[in-house]
This record gives sequence, C-alpha cells and structure tokens, in this order.
Amino acid sequence: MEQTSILNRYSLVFYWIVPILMGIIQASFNLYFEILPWGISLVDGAVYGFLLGTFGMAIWFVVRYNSPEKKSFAQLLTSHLSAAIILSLAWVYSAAFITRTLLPDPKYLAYQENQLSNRIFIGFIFYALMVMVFYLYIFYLKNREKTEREKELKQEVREAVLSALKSQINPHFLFNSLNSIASLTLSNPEKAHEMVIALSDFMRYSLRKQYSEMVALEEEINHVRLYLQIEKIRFGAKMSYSFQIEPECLNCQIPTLLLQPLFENAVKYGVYEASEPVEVSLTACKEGIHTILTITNNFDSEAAPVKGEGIGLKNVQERLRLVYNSNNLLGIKDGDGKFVVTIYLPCNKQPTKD
Amino acid sequence: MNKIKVLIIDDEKLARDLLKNYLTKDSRLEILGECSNGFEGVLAIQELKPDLVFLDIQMPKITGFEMLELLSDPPVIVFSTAYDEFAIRAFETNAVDYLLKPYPLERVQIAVEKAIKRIQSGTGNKEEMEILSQAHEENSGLLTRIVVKSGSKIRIIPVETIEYLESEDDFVMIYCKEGHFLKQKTMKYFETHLDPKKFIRIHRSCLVNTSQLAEIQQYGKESWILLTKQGAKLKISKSGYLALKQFLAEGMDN
Repeated sequence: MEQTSILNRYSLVFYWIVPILMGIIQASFNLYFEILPWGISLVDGAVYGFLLGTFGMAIWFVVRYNSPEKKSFAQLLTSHLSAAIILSLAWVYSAAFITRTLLPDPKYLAYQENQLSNRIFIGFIFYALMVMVFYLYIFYLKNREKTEREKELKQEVREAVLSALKSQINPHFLFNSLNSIASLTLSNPEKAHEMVIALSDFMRYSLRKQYSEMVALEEEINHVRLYLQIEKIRFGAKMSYSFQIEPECLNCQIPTLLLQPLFENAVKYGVYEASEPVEVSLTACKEGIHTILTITNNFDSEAAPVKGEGIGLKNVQERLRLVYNSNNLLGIKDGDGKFVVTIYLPCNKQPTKD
Repeated sequence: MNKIKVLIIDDEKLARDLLKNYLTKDSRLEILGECSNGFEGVLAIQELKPDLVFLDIQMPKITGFEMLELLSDPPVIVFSTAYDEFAIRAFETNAVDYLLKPYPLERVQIAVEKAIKRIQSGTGNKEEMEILSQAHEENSGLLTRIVVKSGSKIRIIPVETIEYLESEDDFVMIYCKEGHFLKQKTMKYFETHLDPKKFIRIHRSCLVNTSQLAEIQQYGKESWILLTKQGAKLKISKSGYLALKQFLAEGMDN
C-alpha cells in the first residue's frame, strides 16, 4: 500500500482530465455569455485550470497521510478543512497574480475582483470532489490487495495440506511406523492397537475433505500430539515430549497445519540423528494480544550436518507473513545444543461461531 | 555344522525385536547381539566377527553404507530399509539381499538361505559391497560429509572443513582442520563426488577446496604453487592452472 501513488503515468492522465475540463468550462462560460473577449477567456481558463491541477496534486498527500483507520473524525475534519482553505487561497491568489501580469486589462481586473469569492468556492468544491475520488481510489487499491492476498492464502493452505500429506505418505515415516506395528503385534498387541489408532487419527486430520484456513490451537496441538505419540512408540526411550499450554491459549486461532512441519523438523534433526535421548517440547502462553508458542528440541551437536534444513522453517515464515501481514512473527535460536523456534501468534479475537 | 553368527544393526528397537523374533525361529542361527548405530556396529563387527549382519541404512550419525566403508573385511550383509528405492534398484543385481520394512517371516527366511549359501561357498563379499555402496552414492549425489577411521575413533568430516585431498597409492589423504586422515578411495571418486564448484583438481594427485585458497605463485615457466590459508604449499599442473584461472574468472563475473 505504501508504494502506490497517484503519481504514475496512467493515474496522472486520468487525474488531469478534471482540472483541464474545469478550465475549458470556465473559458467557454465567459465566451458564451460574452463576459470576456475570446483571447482573455482562453488565457484565463488555461492559467486557472493548470494551477488547479498543480495545487490539486497536494490533495493526494493530504489524503494519504490521513487514513480514516488511523485518525479520529475530528482530526480528519481539521486537516481537510485547513488544507482546503490553504490550497484554495493559494490557487486563486497565484492564478490572479499570473493572469494580472499577463493581461493588464482594467476590464479584466474588475471582472477578476468580482469573481474572487466564486473562485474560492470552486476551489472548495474541487477539493471535496478530489478527496472523495482519492479515498475511493485508495479503498479500491486496498481491496484489490486484499483479494490478492486471500488468493495467495488459499494457495498456501493447499500447499500446507499437500506437504502434510506428502510427509505422511513419506515412506520413511509410514513404513517405519508400519514396521513398528508389525513388531508390536508379536510382542505387545495392546501397544500395537494404540499405535494403529494413533496413526489412523493422525492421517485422518490431513485427509479431511474440508480445510479452513484457521483452526483452534487446541486442534493443532492434538494433531501434533498424535504425531509425537507415534514417533515416541518408534523411538522409545530415545525420545520424550512435553506440552505446557496455558488454558486461555487453546481457543486461539492458528493457520491449519502450521505446527506439524516444525515438529517434523524437531524429530528429524533432533531424534533421528541423535544417539542420546532427545526431548521435544511445546509451551504456549498469552502475552498481550499474542499467544507465544515455543518449540524446543535438544540435538546432538556432534552429529554431522544433514541436507535440507531450513525449507520447512521458511515455509512457516511465509505463511505467517501471508496470514498476518508481518515479517517478524517467527524467531529461531540455535545454540547450546538446543534448537528453539518461537512463534508470536496474533490472537486478539475469539473464534467466531456461526 | 557351526552355527551362523548373526548381528543386527538398526536404530529402532522395535525393528530389531521383529528381526530377532524371526531369526530365533531358525536353529542354524546364533544371534550375537544388536547395535543401535553405526559406531557400535563397527566395534561389534570387529570384536564379535559375525558371519552375517542385518543392517539398516538410515541411522543416526553414520548410515549403513558409511559404516561399511569403514570395514576392511565386511561380513555378509543383508540390508533392511523402509525406503530409498534407488538403492533398492541397485541391490537387485548386487546385494546378498535387501529387506523392505515391514517384511514377513518368509521373506527373511529367503534372505537367510541366500546368506548361508554365500557364507558356505566362501566367495568374497568385499567387491560386491563396493559396487553396492557406489551405486548408492551415485544416486545420492554430492557428498556432504566423509566418514573416516583414525585409530579406534570414527570421525565425520563435513566437506566444508576439508582443506585439500592428496592421493597416496590406493588411498587418498584428506587434510582438514582436525588433521589428516586416510580413506580407501580413488582420487577420481572424490573428483566426481565433491561439488566441482568448490573443489578443483589442481594436479593429478591433488584436489583443493577453493574456499581455502590464499595465493597462487609462479614458480617456473610452466609451473605454479598454490598456498592455502593454513599455509600448505601445493603444486599446480598446467591443466590445473587453467582450471583455477577459469574458476577465478567465473568468480569475478558474478
């Protein structure tokens, strides 16, 4: 929004139509009713029209810096009234000064004196008209940007769902899980039973037919818990997980399937690569309008670098940017054998129930 | 007949349990033990001298393939893997056998029969293993790390920390921050498996990491010397000089 301006080529052409038209109308009016001779009428119309357009461009900036969302009604009224007075007076008096120097005709001077209040009134009308047009123009731009972002968001959700699906039909995860189940059916049928159910519930979440862009944090956490439960059965004592969630965070809305890739990362780079026990944890707490989610895993600092790090995190950052229009909602800390991802989730409204 | 000594290497306990469950049904086999990673695996193989090893490919720290590279006289190997279809294709012609998780008892019995036949015929295993692990490497693209043995320790060298590599007979000496390590591979192998944008063959017997380059000095009419940041002096051949010049010119264009 900040980059858009009236000062590009197309909008400028459209903009100038109005002051040029007003100059022509003024000249034709004076000619038609034989108030002024034709030469004087033309010069008079041209000078007033040109200066109207020039001063009028300042209105754009007044409109730009007086956004109705940020200023109160009284503030808007004061700035527009004072801008209207200043610009109209500046327009009329500078135009009068120029025309008087160009046309030192006593009859014309008298006419001008006569017309002064009319002209100031026209300046006001023009100001009001332009303010309306500019506000509408800004509204249109914002609206277009919003629909574009919504389109992008829908695309992102589709991609998140796809990548969630991909990681579940990821043979590494799926077949190793099935192998664990095969093993458990022989040694511990009850645990096998538990794991089959967890795996089914886990897959069902991302195979749902309908996806909404946002879900309650509680739902996302339940999904992640299933994932960790399955991996925990696979890795046994090598892995543990914990959740520490403040109850008032549970209703907070979060982009669908935002958390899963982060936990996949934690397990992939923490648990898969380590020979020592690894703990994965999630905490959620409320701070002002934000819910702060912290995902922590320790890792084996001696493990050699693995390919592919960072893509999952970049996707999460991109989604946060699209949903909340902000670039600094994700923090990453890597050190002391710990990998910490922090998400500042804007969460100022309760979920709407309809 | 002596029992066939078996070792199981897999990072997941449930996977080991399943294999153990299957293998104990066969009275010809004696399970020596199980390991949960490649480091333990190398030690156990050297100590216990198993005839047959069931080896998982994807494990923490070092893969099954990397582990095999560290053994001078590997036993008969049956791979087990949940994925990696490329490697699987290679095994079809070369491996003693490979198992796809989850596998049924009958499938493991077939693998055991094949392995016993191989052990009793006494044919060498080393060569085939090399073909195998090469096939895997070709599919997995460029190296990101190299696993070496120094004394009783196993070291993982990230390729970025390598200064240069020098061939010594059938081996290659890898010089890096922590010292130098011998690896039983050819220069050709490293030339094709290290990123050609980062490693340049400056001489028949030397491959250098370009990020370690400090200075190039003319030495004779057609001979040059390269100084690394650590101060090592390396001979540059004529074709090596041309390759270096091209690399530096490209660097300036960007």
